[in-house]
Amino acid sequence: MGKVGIVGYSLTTFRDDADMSSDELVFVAASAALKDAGVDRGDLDAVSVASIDAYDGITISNGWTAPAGGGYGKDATRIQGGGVAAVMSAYASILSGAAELALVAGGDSVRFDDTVTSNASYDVFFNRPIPLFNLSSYALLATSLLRSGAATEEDFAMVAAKNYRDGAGNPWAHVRAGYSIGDVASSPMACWPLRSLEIAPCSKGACALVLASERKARELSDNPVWISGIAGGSTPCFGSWAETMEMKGLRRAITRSYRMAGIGNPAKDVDAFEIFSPAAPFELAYYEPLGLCGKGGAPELLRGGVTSGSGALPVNPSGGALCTNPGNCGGVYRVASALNFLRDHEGARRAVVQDSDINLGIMGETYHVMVVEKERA
Amino acid sequence: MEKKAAVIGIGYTTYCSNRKETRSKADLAYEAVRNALDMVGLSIGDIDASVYTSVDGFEATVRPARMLEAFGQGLNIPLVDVNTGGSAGGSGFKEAVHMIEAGLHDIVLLYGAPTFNNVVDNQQVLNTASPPVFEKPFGIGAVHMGAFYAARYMREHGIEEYDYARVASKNHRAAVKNPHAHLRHGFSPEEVLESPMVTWPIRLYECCPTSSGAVAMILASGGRAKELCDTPVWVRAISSIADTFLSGFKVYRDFDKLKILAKKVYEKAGIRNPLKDFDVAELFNPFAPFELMEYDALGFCEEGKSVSLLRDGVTEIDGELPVNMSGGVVCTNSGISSAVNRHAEIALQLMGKAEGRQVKSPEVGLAHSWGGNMGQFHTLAVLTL
Repeated sequence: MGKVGIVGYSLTTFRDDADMSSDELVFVAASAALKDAGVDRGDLDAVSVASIDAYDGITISNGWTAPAGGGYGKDATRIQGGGVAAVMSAYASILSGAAELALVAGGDSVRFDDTVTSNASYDVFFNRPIPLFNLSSYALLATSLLRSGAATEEDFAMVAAKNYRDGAGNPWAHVRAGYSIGDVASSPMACWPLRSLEIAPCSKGACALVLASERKARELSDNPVWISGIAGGSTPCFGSWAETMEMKGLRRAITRSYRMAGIGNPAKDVDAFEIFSPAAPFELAYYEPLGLCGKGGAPELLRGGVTSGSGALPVNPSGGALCTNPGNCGGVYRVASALNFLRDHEGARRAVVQDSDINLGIMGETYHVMVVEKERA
Repeated sequence: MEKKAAVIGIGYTTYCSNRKETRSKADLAYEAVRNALDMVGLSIGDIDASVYTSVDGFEATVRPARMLEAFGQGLNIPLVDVNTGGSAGGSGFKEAVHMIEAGLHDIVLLYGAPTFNNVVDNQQVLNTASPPVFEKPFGIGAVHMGAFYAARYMREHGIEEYDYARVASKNHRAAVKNPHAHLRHGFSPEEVLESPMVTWPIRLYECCPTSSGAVAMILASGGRAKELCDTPVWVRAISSIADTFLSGFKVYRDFDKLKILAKKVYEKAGIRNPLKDFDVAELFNPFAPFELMEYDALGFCEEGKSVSLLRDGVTEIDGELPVNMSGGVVCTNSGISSAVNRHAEIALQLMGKAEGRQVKSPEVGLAHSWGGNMGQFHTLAVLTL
């Protein structure tokens, strides 16, 4: 099996409202990523766009963004379910021999009500009337963690403050206010036990990556970043609550991508993690499946500062989704953030990116995990 | 090119009007997946990954795959959700093929969803797809867009209304023999010409219905395909193409992007003379006139001579290159399912399992899908025994 490298990337700064439309944003990000890779649009074979129609306010919204992302006259597709899912599509297209150079892009410009779009994604008879939507589903997970003693409300505030502190130092991040634990703990209650500063905003901006076959990557870069592992997993929407909390789909994606990348001990073998945590409790819930600690060990890891941006095992050194949460290009943003980390940290060689579609809520969600690494630090 | 991914199983539900549908999305998904698995003798536990194809909005939900469990979610296998408008079925087929050819998975399930299930007014949803500043306020519908092409094509190539009626009738007559078709009336060209005008020059019986029904396909890697199926249908080449979004600048003259795509795909598949090299073709024809423009773009004839193929019966089921033996999209249009159906129909033909609509021993086939608010996207797949 050949290898796939990432030879260029770019991101715009993220904010409350965009001053460009999604196609313009994608055009800006894609052009900059091509420039970063040292290639032009004519060299591209394929384009994968990450988006969902509801976040673009139009149907068949890839018609809007794929040509702007370099896809005009090319093999172009749109993958729903997150940016890493779109990366996987481009990755497969390169390994299959269909493409040598592929671009993955996403952009967010449209204001939407994420409660309505999320609720509309749930089952019409049982779930919508409850009403189940992203925030209420996050709160169910949070209360479950509290009840089982796996975390406290203080831990939620602490993980949020950790993200805000790291986001403050990230020039691309949307929220850079650096809120403290006190700020988070005194922010208004949004959906018990989640406070408003423990929930991700809706961010606008765009990101793009340029992927290349092994041959092409070596031609374009003397130390390309390789995708050494990538895998997905799904979960049933009508599973029991215990099944939901087991996160088997996530565990499957983690196990398989780690195996591909030869990661035996993630706490030692990985330099940073960029994971999708649209509400503070998710980051805590994911430490154990990611292999950072044993069952119940997450709060200790957090309280000890191990997972802060400057800690031994940085998780979301970009500030994560609490600081920057674009619905369409979030997964691509997390990959770009991991690449920023590898670029900016001497000695850092390998990062893990975890992504999912839980912007729409949990239950019925899909996950993707990928490992990026440089040959030399 | 080395043969690496193959179609080994196909499962249909029956198709009906979306207004008469009594089955839920879950019922349809289960039935199609069950039928596809049964054809190969597999269980859901044998599937490595699933690809779901539909268009959000039309199904009156957001990301409908999240609320279905027929694709192996209980076993936590990867579920990839592809949406490129009407061509999503072809794009999803491409995803499945790439996953297998990349060595990521051995057995992949592809699902073509009943896109029009539960929606009250398709046109309102489709109108949101138009560029918001200029095009959208015009309220241009799918049929208007179809009529732009059909009117210009008539004028440029001396085509008569009767020819459009004839191509519609060819599909309607074929659908009578297809147990999975929705409209099975077998209209004659005269009956088509007597049907009400919808948007000149397109008449009612030249327009696709809105159907409900679903299809699932099982694809497998080389070794597994041979093990599991006596007549695996190999994917020799597949690709897609995207046009610009700003439709106001377009000249609705022909399917120029499809022509470019065909050149690329034929080169990969070693097709030199499409009319001779292909034994069967399923082309995406939501409006009957499109089929003629596609003959042109796909190089079945010299430019503008598509009508001679039709008049000479070349593309009839007993002709040199039968096209749309299933009755095409003009008789059964369950949204994205119809894009997957094109591939399913070619696979069934090559396997020799197309029942009443079977062509005699075809070996090479072409499947086409088309989509976008203005038809910006095309996919083409060359399948072979």
